[in-house]
Amino acid sequence: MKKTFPSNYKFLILCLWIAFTCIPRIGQSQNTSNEQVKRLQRAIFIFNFAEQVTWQNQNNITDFKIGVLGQDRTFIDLKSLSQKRKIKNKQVTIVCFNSVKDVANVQLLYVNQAQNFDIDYILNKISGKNILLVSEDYSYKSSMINMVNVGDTFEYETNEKNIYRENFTTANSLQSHAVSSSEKWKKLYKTTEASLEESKKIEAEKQAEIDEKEKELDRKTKALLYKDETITTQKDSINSISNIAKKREKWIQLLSSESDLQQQKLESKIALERELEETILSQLAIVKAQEKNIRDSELRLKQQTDSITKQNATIKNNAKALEAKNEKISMQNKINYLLIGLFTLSLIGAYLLYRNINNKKKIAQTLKEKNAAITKQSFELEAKNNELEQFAYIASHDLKEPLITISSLIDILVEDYGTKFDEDGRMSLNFVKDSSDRMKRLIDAILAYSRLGKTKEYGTVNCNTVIDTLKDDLQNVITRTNSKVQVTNLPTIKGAELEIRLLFQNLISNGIKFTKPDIDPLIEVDAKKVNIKDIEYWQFTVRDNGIGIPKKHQERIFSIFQRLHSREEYEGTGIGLAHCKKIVESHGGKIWLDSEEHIGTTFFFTIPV
Amino acid sequence: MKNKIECVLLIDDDKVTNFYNKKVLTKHEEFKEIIAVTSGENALKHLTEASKGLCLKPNLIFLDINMPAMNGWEFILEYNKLDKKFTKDIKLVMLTTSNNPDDYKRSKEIETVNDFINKPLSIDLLSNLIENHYEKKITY
Repeated sequence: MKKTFPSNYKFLILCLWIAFTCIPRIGQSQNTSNEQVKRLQRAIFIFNFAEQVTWQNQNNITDFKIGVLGQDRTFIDLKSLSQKRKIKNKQVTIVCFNSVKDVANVQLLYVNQAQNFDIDYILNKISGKNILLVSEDYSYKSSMINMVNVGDTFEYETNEKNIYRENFTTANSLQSHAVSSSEKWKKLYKTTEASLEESKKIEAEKQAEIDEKEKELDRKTKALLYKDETITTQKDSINSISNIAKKREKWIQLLSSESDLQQQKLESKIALERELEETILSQLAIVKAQEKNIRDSELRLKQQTDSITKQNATIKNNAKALEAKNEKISMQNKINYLLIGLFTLSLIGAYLLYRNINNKKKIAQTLKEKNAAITKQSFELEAKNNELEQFAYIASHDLKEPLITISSLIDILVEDYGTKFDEDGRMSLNFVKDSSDRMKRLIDAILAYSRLGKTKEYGTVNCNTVIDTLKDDLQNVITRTNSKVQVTNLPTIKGAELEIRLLFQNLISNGIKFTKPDIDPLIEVDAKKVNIKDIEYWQFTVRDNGIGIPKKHQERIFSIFQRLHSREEYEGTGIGLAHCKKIVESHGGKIWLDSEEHIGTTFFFTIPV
Repeated sequence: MKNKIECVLLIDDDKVTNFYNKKVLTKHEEFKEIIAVTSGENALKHLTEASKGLCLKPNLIFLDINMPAMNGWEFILEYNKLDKKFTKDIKLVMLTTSNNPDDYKRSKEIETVNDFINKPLSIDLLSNLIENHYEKKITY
């Protein structure tokens, strides 16, 4: 494939240029802010400029050098592009200059107006050094090739005067594309394609021509040896050129595909960006609205916070008040509980009291009733007793009166008319008299018995004095019966003196009376203190040496009118011991006896101290 | 010394007692006139008449306690209403079967009652009575 086609050389370069210029055009037509792309575009522009200018000594140089004036990032862009691309089939070297004075040994110098270098000064300095000046953003026709930022791409203009002064020859395309438009580059692209097709045909034709010429050459080989060498060199050069052409073809293909791809990318990017912009705008609107909303809500929030703070304060106050109230309430609760407890206690107490009082009332009621009953009964009893006593008294009194009359009249009879009766008559009168007398005594005894124990006024009774008086009263009997009455020191007791005297009288006269005829009566009277059931008593003893009382009769001797002997044996009414019993019992004591027949009897009686 | 006491008034509802008492009084020679009535009302009637000089004024009255209608104590109440000038030199003696000490005590409390004796009346009792109530007077 390495064949030389010298006639096509120019055409190929044109094709290459078109291809190269396409890329920035694509970028130029697109409104993109992609700095990266623009920077690459710039570098590509610079490289393309270099390709379209012919240096007089370009075949002598080994390296194609590009200088960058000032601290410009274009240096980096150019450097990266120099790795991929060659200029005029030569290695490209990028150098940087800080000062215009230093600029030397470069084929192209790039300067940006942003670096503040005076363009006239630069032109002056590089004049005669065979350097092509590419400037950016400088004023019109001030430089050799001046690039201008138009939108997102570059335009350029050329100053032929300056270019030709440095003996540069430029490709026509450089001039023709100096003022650009998107229509133009599209047309160019199409014509380039068509011309590529054409050139392919021409190439094929030329191949055929070459084939023919080879045959011609073969035929002329022998004749033209001189020409042979030339052909060989031409072959070589063609070969190298064809190589370059092939390479350039590949480059074109690559670049076209790249540019296609980039175009697509850019389109999609643009679309995306538009969408993005729209979205951003709408979002901005939304954001603004939201900001407003947020501000409003912030305001509201602030208000709410304020009100919340106020409310918090109120709540705190309320809480304090509540706490105080709670304390109060708890205090009151405690007090209430206490009060309730007290109330319950008092209720219970009142209830208990009420029940107690009720019970007491009931008891009192029953007691009252019973008392009333008892009082009534006692009244009745007293009345009955009085009645009975009255009855006994009146009965005996009324019985006594006719009896007295009888006995009195018998006395008159006996006294006045006794001599007129015979013996039997007189004896009968005597019997009547005796009987009436005995009846009188019995009636008197009943009367006395009925009156006993009625005395309630007890005085102090000295028993020694009582016995002394008694002894005086019974002096006749004592002397007649030759009796002895022995008395130890007796106490002074509380009682009715008359009744106490009657008591001693009955007991002593009984002792004197009931004796065997041949024995002198001996009566001993004694007293001692005893304690029966925690009550102190005086226990009196009256002992005799009389006939004694059989055990079987000891029970009944205290009953009224009970006699153990005939009146002929021992006279008496049979009421004496009944009297004694009544007297002792009415004084709150007891009477009993201890007796042995034929030896004697001991009477015991007690009187409370 | 004969007939020291001009007139005796016996007051007893029992005619037999009056008879017996009259007999005893008659036996005693000191009593000249003996009048017996069977009730207090009759006795009062007699005394009223005597105060007017219509009949004999008694020097001594024997009064029974137990009588129907007006008993001895009731008679004394009426007797005390009589003119004191008239009754002051009359001796009033209770003559009763009662040996009830209450009756005796009661009679002691009455100023008009001069003595209290139990039946039956006897010569000895009368002599004792005269000794106690009249002979002292004489000695004066």
